[in-house]
Amino acid sequence: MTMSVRTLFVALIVAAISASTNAQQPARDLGPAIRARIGTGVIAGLVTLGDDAKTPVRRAVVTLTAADDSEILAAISGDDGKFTIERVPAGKYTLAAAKPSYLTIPYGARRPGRRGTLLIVAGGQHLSDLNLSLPPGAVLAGRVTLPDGQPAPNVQVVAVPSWRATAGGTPEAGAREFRTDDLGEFRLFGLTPDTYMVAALLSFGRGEVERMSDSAISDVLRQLQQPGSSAGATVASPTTVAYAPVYFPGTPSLGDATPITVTTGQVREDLHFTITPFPAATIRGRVVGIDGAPTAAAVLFLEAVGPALPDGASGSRTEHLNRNGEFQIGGVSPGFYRLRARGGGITLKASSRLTPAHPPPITSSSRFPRIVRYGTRRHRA
Amino acid sequence: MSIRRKLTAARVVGFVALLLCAPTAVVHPQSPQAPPPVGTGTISGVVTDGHTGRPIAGALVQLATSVPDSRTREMTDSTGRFVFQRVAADTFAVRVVAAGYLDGGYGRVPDSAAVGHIILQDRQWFGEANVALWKPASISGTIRDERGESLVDIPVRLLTTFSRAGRDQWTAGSWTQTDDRGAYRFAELVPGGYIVFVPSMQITLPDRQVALIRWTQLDPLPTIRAADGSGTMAGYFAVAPPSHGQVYPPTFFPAARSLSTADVVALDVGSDRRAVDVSLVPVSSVRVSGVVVGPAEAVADLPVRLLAAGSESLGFGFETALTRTDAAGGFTLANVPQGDYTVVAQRVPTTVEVDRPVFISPPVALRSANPFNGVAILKQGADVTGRTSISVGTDVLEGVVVPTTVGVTISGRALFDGADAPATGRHAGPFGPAIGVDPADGDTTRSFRVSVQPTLSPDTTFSIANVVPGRYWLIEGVNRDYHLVAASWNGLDLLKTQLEVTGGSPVTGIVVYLSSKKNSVSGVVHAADGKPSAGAVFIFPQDPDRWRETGISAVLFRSLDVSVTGAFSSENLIPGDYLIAAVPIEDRKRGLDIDFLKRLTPQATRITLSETATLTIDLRIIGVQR
Repeated sequence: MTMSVRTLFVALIVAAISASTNAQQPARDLGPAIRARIGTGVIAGLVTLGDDAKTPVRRAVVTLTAADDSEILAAISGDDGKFTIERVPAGKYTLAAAKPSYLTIPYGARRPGRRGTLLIVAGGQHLSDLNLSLPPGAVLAGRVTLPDGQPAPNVQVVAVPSWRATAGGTPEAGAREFRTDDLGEFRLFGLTPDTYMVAALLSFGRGEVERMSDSAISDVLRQLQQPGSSAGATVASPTTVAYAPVYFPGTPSLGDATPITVTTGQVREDLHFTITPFPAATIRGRVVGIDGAPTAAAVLFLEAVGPALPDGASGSRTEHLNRNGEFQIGGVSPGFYRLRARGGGITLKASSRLTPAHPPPITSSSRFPRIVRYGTRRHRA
Repeated sequence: MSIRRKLTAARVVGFVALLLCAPTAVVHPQSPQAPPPVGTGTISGVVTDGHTGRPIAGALVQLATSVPDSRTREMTDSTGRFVFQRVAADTFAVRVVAAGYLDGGYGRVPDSAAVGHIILQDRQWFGEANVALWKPASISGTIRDERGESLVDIPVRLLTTFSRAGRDQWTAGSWTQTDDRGAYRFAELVPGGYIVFVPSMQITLPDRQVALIRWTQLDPLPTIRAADGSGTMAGYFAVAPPSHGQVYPPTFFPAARSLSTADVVALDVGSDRRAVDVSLVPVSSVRVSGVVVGPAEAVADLPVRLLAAGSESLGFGFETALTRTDAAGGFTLANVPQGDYTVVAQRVPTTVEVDRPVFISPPVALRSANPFNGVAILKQGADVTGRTSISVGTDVLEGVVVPTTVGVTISGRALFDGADAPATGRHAGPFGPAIGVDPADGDTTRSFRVSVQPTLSPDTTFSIANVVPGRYWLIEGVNRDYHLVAASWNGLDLLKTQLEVTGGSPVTGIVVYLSSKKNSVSGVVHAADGKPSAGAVFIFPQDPDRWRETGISAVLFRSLDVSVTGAFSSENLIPGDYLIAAVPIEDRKRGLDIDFLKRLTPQATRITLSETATLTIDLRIIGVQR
């Protein structure tokens, strides 16, 4: 039975994916078969590293993309770096070369990520000697370990350009995900020359974890072993910790992170950092309406402020309020956050300092400053 | 059209939600709304390395109950210890994750899914919740081209064994991509045999209708255009030399062209196999063309796939070359490396038709390379299946003829606890009761199809379209409320007799009996010394004739992993006469091994299960000579 359910699940997942592809892509629906247009133009040139020596790059995929996306013609560069694209229909095109771990610079552009020059190809036209640069990307590599020196496997490692590190937002779509292997080693390649903040995001242990000291556990066990002791008699209070995104060289605070600058083709393999669980904070509070009365008819959003980290890694989450409009958000890892309450179509943004005895009310009029929580005491209800 | 799209999207959301909800082992951070109940019990234990016996510090331990878990996790101290205090009486599983180890839990033995449970009373201290964790194994290596240059960012796939229709078969496992040094690494592997595979497909398209599916996006692919307008996909796989006539064929470690000649890498607990390197070597290729013969509307726009002889069972993702027929069934594959192949012309390998008025069969006809990226050819139509063998040499191969058979429709009606309609309140949710057909010989390249009735309609008829001729077992789909207890057609008992589907006429008038009642078998497994023991429990039909051709699902068979507490239970078996036996954990994968079952039979216990039987049975582990 287990097997049939599993098989069926696999089949269903396949179906769900195929169906969702269909459902969500009306705009890119490729429609009925379109016969390819056969042209007479020829585009030829050379792919090099873009260095002074014009070192050829072999087996790069050179693509000629029509300005209206209706054609993507390709050719492969030879051992001498030369390429030829034949049978090009008349039209406007952009030209670029690609090879994994190299940086694509469109024809006519000076740097990766910039727009290239539009090539206008007339019927039967031969454009030759088009030079394409394909410089090698930079590499950031290293090892992530746990406090006891053990490798930290399956840790997602991201490099965020430092100019984006305080801007927030979402990571670039389609960015390749890099994770540490079972040896804790990671290798980010194909990076554009820039200054980066490198963050390690532990996949297990997100959220809060209780930790008791060796002596506390020994005490509890000793008392349990005494004759006549009942299991409920002794209670040790554990501390609560959480794993937060850690920035190189091993800090949860972006301000303490060391930015790393890499140039074209530079390989840095010395990025070793340790992931440590940090004391977790608990945020408690209450939401009140404009009339000053507590309201439960709102949803609270805790939003991490900081670099664009992948979904789920930033610590952002949604919380519901209890009947009295109160909330308690446990296991919050250190970082900058914005707290937002939404209900009845209006968004209330607020908070101030955390004082457990008198939770600050959130009103539509209060201004919400960025709050820093680092190793805050945990306040139990 | 737009309404259909919306409905489909809604269904998909429902689906995915259900799939995500299925596993209960989700680790949630503590929520303020559901504080753990405070009690008077204590659970403590030590987490150790199962191999060395050394304690593991910093492991995360979680108590899990049958209700969605709200308990805080605890971290082990420097000697691997943990204590959960003020625990309310309940039944718990203890789950543990630790860096560098396979996930484990109380009562678990390596390479087994069985979990032990702790029944905790008020004021009780359970001090033996000890957990052993095992190091995973790994395989790593480098992929290079014929000149020794690293092949960067290309897919590498692992094959694992999967027991199917009574025998172990190789099947696609996880995949990864090489880094900038051409290096790949598969880690967190359980002990067993593995095959390393480097896919490489020559994809020829008669026109521009090709796109790479990345999650839900369709990215048009660059193609190298030939004089006839057809294009060959460039990139994604290892890029071959630009001159025509040389391509990289799919390659198995160390340098095999076919599954049957691949090396198996055997891994023990914690073994780290390095230098499992593959060098891709270009092979001369030629143009292969031909025609798929069958009904005009069925052979148009039909995927044509080339699988190396000996690799046919692997199916999608393992093709050497792919294309699609034109409107008349003609096809051309631009670059086929020399070798022997099976040509397969088939629209979709596995189709799930859910809620037929909404979900017409999925439009994606070709999937390759990995589960989520593939080549989509957006066309659908009636299902035909055709195959033929070819041998490709140094000359252009023309005039290949691929004959096809047309799929048929299987239909009938369902009786719910003997009534014509399900009881009120049941039969709800995105899954209604479903009926499917499962190829008896386990050939996954044939249809494995499930039909689901419209969930909003009281109609109790079912229909499964486009079933490829062959022998099938009737199976049930996933449903909470009803399960299949009997099926008949033309006086035949379809749970005892395979359904023979021949080409041409549809199969009508099947009656399936669905029951909301449950039966169950449970008990405790004991070792020879009488103590509860880990192991596996097999439940299988008494009639040995039914051990062959069990289909992919093997619905009459159960194989249950048993943890160190010895407890086992199984429910919703199809009523009938069974044998039940407990075996050592080493034999846990032999539940469909006919020779093994034969030797187990004299000592196995005979049981008869009715629709409502509740059997409790204690078993002693049977040792069978290998």
